[in-house]
Amino acid sequence: MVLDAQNSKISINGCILIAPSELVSDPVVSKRHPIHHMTWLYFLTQINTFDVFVDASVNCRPTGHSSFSDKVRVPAGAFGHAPPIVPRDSERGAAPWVTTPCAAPRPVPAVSCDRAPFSTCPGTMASSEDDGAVDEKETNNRRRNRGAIATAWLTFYNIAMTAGWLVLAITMMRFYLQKGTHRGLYRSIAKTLKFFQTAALVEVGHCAIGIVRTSVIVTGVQVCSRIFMVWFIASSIRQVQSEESVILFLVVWTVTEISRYSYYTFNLLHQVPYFIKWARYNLFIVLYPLGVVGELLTIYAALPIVRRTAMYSLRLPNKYNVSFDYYYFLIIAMLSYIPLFPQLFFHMLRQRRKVLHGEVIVEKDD
Amino acid sequence: LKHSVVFFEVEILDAKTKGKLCFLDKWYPTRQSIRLDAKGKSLKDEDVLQHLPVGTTATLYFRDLGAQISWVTVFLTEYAGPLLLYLMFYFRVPFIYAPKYDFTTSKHWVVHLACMCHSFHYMKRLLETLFVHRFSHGTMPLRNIFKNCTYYWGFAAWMAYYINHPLYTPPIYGEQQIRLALVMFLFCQIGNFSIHIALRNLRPPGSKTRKIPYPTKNPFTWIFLLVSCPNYTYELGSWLGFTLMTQCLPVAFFTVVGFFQMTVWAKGKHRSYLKEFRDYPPLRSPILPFVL
Repeated sequence: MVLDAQNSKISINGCILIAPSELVSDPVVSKRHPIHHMTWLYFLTQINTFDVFVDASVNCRPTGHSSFSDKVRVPAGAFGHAPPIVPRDSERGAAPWVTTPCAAPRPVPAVSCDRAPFSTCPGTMASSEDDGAVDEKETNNRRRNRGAIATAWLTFYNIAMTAGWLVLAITMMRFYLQKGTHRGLYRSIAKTLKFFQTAALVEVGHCAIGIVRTSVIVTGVQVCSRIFMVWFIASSIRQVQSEESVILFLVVWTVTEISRYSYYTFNLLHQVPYFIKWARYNLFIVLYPLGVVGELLTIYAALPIVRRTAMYSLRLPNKYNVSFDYYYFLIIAMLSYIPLFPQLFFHMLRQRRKVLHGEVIVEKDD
Repeated sequence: LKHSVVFFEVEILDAKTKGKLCFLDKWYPTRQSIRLDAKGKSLKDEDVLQHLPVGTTATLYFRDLGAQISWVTVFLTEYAGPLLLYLMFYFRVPFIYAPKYDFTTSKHWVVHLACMCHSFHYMKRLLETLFVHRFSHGTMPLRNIFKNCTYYWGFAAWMAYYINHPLYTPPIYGEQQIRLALVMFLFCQIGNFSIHIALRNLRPPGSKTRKIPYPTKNPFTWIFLLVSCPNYTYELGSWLGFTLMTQCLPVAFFTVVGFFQMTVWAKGKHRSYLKEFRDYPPLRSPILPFVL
């Protein structure tokens, strides 16, 4: 450590701090020197390989030298003097921190020395011994402020989906009112349903690129299960289309999706009517279990047909040395509802408590 | 200079509730995580309070890492499973295939070869766990053993079922395909082992220092010139060889899934090498030369 009292410079491990000369006298002694109730300088001499942390604030004279309020934490007990009192970050506001570079092999909560107006540091930040977890927080911080384009696209998407499911609902109602039966209803809406349900894949993309703050996996699983029901059960197995359970889950899906997409739309416009919010966070309590019942009954009805026709199945021997039995796959799919459904249901219940009971609205998909 | 005694006040707060905890004797040491910042990284066992950037009053945060299990235990369990399960399918233990096939053997010689290769692979892994690897961390969370064992044991059973099935179809290109696959497999096994030995020699026993690995006299380690984690590269090569040898889709799935996981690990390792060493060789890629 070099002290140059005349030029009022203290050089510590390469960092140069400028301090008023009257404060700098005895480098070995720690001092506490309040000047103008704002400036004080005290420092401890270096201790071997310790980082030397110096708390130094320079008086702010109106001379163009900006107030140099860099400070760094001070290790206690250096050289037997009364340890100085280290003001905590919160007391000092957003003062930039200076660290001595390179000497410390530990993560120091410091910024680059460039921030401090009067200090220069030759080295870089202390290297971390740990495995690259330093930027874990940065990767977790998605862009909070979506661009205008993203917002516009999301608004358009949600309006389009609301409209699509409304069309589905109206078509279903009209069919039933005209024909009086649910036979043939599925066929009449099959194309529209396939289109709008498959379009939900886009939502997985939204999560992946970060404009919607939801887990990609959760959204992916939900969209995939819907697409599976539409394409691989209802549309491909003709005989189940006349089951009542199909109508059950169709009605449930329609009501849920309309309330969900309209909620998102209003959310993006920052104007959510209370009944939409109410619908979204209350109807699921009834609709969710009903939907699960409808889906399970449909799959159950499909089982004998799948077994008989061996559809989507691959038997041995074949050159890929693999076999697949759609029948057992469906049974496993049905069993998987047992662990998955309660998790999703209670997640929605927790969301409901947060949103409807006045806490911070977390824009999370279910 | 007079030396006075300095007393530290150490306050231990719970990271989640910020409430004060006083005693840490409820949790054994490997599941304690103590940090200076509630959301920051754990302090190491070797850290000394005096050397940390704290004043006279140090505020530390405690987090319970949950039940822990040692790495060695996990590795041994997850590798012993595939070894034994595959053999059960190979010997056609009852209740797997139709009763008329119980305890019969396959008529295809490639099936015997595959059994030898698979068993050799997992024996090698077990022995490396016991005698070669030097672990940086002592323990991992307990639930990992269930996750890992499900993965390894599940895939091993799935593969073994088809390879040892009475209706197994041998590779289309016959002997040529099997020979090539075997060469690839053995080459990569030796390579993988060489890398493990090279990595072991980087670190003296009991230490946790980290150094850049470099090619040694062993030609199998020359791949260090191009790749940061060649053990994963060779592992991929071994499983590609095994896929080719058995021509079995479940094996291909296992190779692909393993490749994804190893790529994630290799990228992480590569990144931490770059962070830690300023002079890290720029030509190296994480797992595949020039590509990935």
